[in-house]
Amino acid sequence: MNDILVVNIADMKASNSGNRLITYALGSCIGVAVFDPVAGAGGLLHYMLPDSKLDERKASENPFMFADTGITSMLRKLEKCGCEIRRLTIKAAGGSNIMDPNGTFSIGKKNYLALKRILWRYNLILRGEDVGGSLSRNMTLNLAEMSVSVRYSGVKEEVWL
Amino acid sequence: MNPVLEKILQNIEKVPPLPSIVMKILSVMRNPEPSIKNIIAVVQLDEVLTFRVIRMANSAYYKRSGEDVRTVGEALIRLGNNTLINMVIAESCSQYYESAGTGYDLKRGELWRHSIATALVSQKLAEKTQFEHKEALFTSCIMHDVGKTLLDSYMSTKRAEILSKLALGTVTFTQAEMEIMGFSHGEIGARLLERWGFPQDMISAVRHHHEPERALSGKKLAYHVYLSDVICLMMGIGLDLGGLSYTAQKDIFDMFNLSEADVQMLFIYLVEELAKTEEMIRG
Ligand SMILES: [Fe+2]
Ligand SMILES: [Fe+2]
Repeated sequence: MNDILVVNIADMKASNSGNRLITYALGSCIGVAVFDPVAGAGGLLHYMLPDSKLDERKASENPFMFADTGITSMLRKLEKCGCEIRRLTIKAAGGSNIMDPNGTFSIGKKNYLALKRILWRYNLILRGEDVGGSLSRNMTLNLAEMSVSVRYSGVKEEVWL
Repeated sequence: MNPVLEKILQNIEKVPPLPSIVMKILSVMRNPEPSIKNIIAVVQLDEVLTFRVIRMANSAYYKRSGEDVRTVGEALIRLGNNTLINMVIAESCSQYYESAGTGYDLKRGELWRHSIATALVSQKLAEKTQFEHKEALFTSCIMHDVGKTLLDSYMSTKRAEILSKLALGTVTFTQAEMEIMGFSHGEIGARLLERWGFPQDMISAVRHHHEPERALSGKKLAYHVYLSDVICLMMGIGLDLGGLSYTAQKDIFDMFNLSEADVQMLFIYLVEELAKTEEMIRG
């Protein structure tokens, strides 16, 4: 009970036993926290790229590298844990970008747009988000409280999503 | 002179000397026809390195179904020149990162992991851009943030000021460092490399790794260090207080014909390569 599970880059963890799931140092990657309060289960995904079309072989080896395959795999896993898709609360953080006045180089932004597109396909909306800018974030999904928070590098206070 | 800078420069004097093997390797590799035999000979003189090189060659990833290797020469055949040399350089430099990073809000070991990751992705990048000086690039990447190790405790007193500058969203981390401390971590790293007698192009690449267009000698090397670092930062590897508060320089990506898809493929390469290299990272 109440163990801390660390989610790495291109990784996802799900739990139905009140654990705390945490992922560190989101840069242009995006963390997606999902939970179903009725089922008491949820998951945290940390993907790094927007679209699995880049390399479908890699995506089949590790779907959590990409937004599309990552979210689909996470939802499937959560359904197995007793979650229902229509009951899910979804919150996202990350998607920072290098400072670029021309907006030419923005994997973070593309990661965010990909997320919106995929959620739209599932008829889901983001209930909370803290996305963009140029700073580093840690993200926590507390399944005991069904809460999601973000902490910026160097800052003690948590931001609740 | 800035009294803080003076104090930090005094601390540079106390940094243990660089193992001589690093300079030997770099000078052998600058030779148009490098003799790998010389490198084997130098590695064999060092018991600890010999042990680690052989252990790496016998690790599950490299060994596969082969037999145990027992000599540096056999290890070289299994690992290949580039991997062996990089491993020796990494092993020789890891000592400078032992306690570093906390002032920048990095967990213990993260600055070292960032250095290794930058060095690893630089090698793949160099293949793509056909950059020749792979060993110099690897070493520069390993050392690019070494200045942070000397600024660790000072930075922990300046965090709040740095963060309030960055919160504006218009100031780069380098500008914030300049305004608040009067110098950047690249500058401090470069001073250490100067003391160790590194070649000019490598000193310059470390000094200007966030603004590589300022490098006076070896611009190409500086651009490669910059690109490798940016890729690691975007992926969040060793991402610290400064986050991604650096300027994106599209022209540098264009200069080497790097498309965004290429960069994305480098993300994938690196995440896989890092997993393989965890053993090297833990040392
Ligand atoms: Fe740096
Ligand atoms: Fe760096």
